[in-house]
Amino acid sequence: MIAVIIFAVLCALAGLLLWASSRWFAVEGNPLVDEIDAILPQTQCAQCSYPGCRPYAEALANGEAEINQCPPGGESGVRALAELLGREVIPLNVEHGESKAPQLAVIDEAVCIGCTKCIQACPVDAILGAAKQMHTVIASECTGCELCIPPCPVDCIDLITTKGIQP
Amino acid sequence: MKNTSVFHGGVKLQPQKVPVSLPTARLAEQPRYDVPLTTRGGHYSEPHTEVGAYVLGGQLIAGGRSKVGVHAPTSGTVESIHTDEGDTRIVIRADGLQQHIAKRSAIACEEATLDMLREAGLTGMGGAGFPTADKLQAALNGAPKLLIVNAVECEPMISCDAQLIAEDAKTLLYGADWLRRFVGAELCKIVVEDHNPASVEYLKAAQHEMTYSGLSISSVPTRYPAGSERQLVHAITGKELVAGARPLDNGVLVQNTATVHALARWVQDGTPLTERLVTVTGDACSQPQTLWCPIGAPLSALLEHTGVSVGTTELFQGGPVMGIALKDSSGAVAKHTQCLRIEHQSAPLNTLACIRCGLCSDACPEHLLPQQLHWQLLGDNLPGAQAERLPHCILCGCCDLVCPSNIPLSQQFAEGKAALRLRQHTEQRAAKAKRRVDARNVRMEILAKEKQERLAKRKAGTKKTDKQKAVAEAMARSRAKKEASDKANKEND
Repeated sequence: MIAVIIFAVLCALAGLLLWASSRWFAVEGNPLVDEIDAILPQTQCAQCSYPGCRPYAEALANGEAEINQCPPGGESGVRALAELLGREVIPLNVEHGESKAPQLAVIDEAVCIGCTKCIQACPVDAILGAAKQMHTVIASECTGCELCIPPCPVDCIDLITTKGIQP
Repeated sequence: MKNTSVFHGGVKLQPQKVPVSLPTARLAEQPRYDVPLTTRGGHYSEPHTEVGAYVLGGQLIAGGRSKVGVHAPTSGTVESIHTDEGDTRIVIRADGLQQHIAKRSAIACEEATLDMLREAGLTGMGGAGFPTADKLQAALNGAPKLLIVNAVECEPMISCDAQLIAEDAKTLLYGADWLRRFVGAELCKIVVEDHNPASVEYLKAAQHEMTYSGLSISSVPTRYPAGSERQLVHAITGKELVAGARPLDNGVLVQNTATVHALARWVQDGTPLTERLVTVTGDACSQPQTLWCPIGAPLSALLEHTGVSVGTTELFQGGPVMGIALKDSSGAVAKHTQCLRIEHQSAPLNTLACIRCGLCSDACPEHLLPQQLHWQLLGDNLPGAQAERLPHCILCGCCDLVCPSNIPLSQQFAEGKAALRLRQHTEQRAAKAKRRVDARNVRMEILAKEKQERLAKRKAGTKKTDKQKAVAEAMARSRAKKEASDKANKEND
C-alpha cells in the first residue's frame, strides 16, 4: 500500500514538474520555420505559390509543400532543404519557374511616369520615388524578384543579369 | 632540404631569371591601343572621353571620384569604348606623332594629396593591381614606422624589378624617399633577393650619389615566396604577422618597386602611369627580354617583338608558379602585367589521389593544412574549408610544387575562395532582404491598423455623440423658451 502511495506521489510530482517546465521553457512558434527560412534565398519572389519566403517556410514545416518549389534557391537549395527535413532530393519543379542567374531590376527613368505601383509591389522596399516623380531601384537592396514588372503600366522596368556579386 | 629562410615553409626554386640588358628594349609604337578601365580587383573607372575625340599621350581618359585615373599611352583618336565580358576598354588609334601633355615641376610631399595620387593612375604593379591611393590612405591612418620597397621578385624568370633598378635606380630611390616622408615612416628599406648582387650594387651606387637619410638596402635569402607581403615582413622585421593581419597592422607599409618608380616619375614631372616593364619569356620565346610596354599595347605585339610565332604554344600571364593561362593573345598589357610567358604545349600532368604525405603543410608559408582543404573542397564542404582557414590562403602555389600526386591544389583553393566569397555575399544579401521584408511587414500591419481606426472614427462621426445631443437639446429648449416668451409678450401687447 505504501509503495502505491509513494509512486502515486512521485508520479504526481514528476507530472507537475513536466507541466511547469513546458510552461516556463515554451518556444514561441516553430523553430523549424526559422531554420528553413535561413536556407531560403529571401528573394521574396513568390514563385513557390506562397506570398513570400517565410510563408513557404511555414508550409514546408507543416508538411504542406514540396521542397522543390523555390527556383532562386536552385538545386543546392533543394539539397539543403532535403538534408534539414530528412526528405528525398528531387529535381526542381519547372511549374514554379527555372533557376536563373541573379538579377537586378533597372527602371528606364526617362519612360517612368511616377505611378508608384512598383513601389507598392516591391517586397523589400528597394524602389525609391513618389507620386508623379521619377522612380529608381536601389541596386544594393534589389533581390531581382520580378514582382515590380507586371504592375508597371508603361513597361519601363528591365531585369539585368548580374555576375553574382553586386553592390 | 633545410629551411634557411626566416619564414615558415616556402620552396627553394631556381631563379632562371631573364638576364638584364642595357639599354632597356622598348616596344615599337603600335597602331592601336586597348586601354583597360578595370583593375584586376574590379575597380572600374568612368570614361572621361568620347568616341572620335583627339587625345594626347598622358591625357586623362578615365577616372572619377575616388577612382584610379587612366591615361592615354600616346596621341591619337579614340576609336571606340567597348565592353567585353564586363571588361571595358578604350581603343585608341595612334596618329604616330607621339605628342604628350606638358610636364610640370616636382611636387613636394607636403603638397601632395591622395586624390592627386589617385588621378596619377597608380595601382600595385607587382601583380595584385590594388589602387595605390587606397593603400596609402590606410597607411596614413595606420602610421607605419617602416616602408619596404619590395624588389624581391621571388617568382622565377621575372626580372622587371632587376631591369628597373639597373636602368633607373636613382628615380627609384627618389620615389622611396618621397614616399617615406609622405607616409611619415622613419625608415625605408629596399629589399632584393640574395641571388641578385648586381641590383644591390646599382642601388648602393645610387644611394652613394644621392645620400638619402633613413634609407637602406638589404637582401633576403632566395626562397619562394619571399616577395609575398606577409612573408617579406616576417623576413625583414623578424616578427610573423598573425593570421589574416596585414603588414600595416605591424606598422609596415610594403610597396612594389615598379609602383614606387611610377610614383617618382609622377612626382618629378607629372608623368602618369602609361607604360611599364614586362618580362617576355618561356621556352617558346627565342629572345627572352624585359621591355618597356605602353599600357594597352596588344599582347600579340609583344610576341612579335620577341620572335614568337603563335602556333602550338601556350600563353600565360605571370610567372611559372602563379601564372594564369590565357586563351589567346587578343588581350592587352595592363598595369599589373608583369610577365608574359610562352611555352611549348606540354603533356598534361598525371594527377593522382592525395596520399596524405603532408609535404604541402610543410611547404605552406601560411601554416595551413592544404591536404585538409583539399578534402573539404573535394566534398563541396565550404564551411569546413573555412574552418580550415581557406580565406587565409595566399595562393602562392607552394603546395602544387611539392605535391607528389600533382594535384592542382592552388587552383582548387582559388576556386574555393571565390565560391566562399560568393556564398558569404549571398548570405549577407539574404539576411538584408529578410530584415527589409520583416520591417515592411511590420509597417504594413501598422498602416492597416491605422486605416481601420480611421474608418471606425468616420463611421462614429455620422452618429451624434452624447455631448452633441445635449447641446442640441439645450438649443431646442432655449428656442422653445424664447418662442414661449415671445408669445407671452405678444399677448401682453
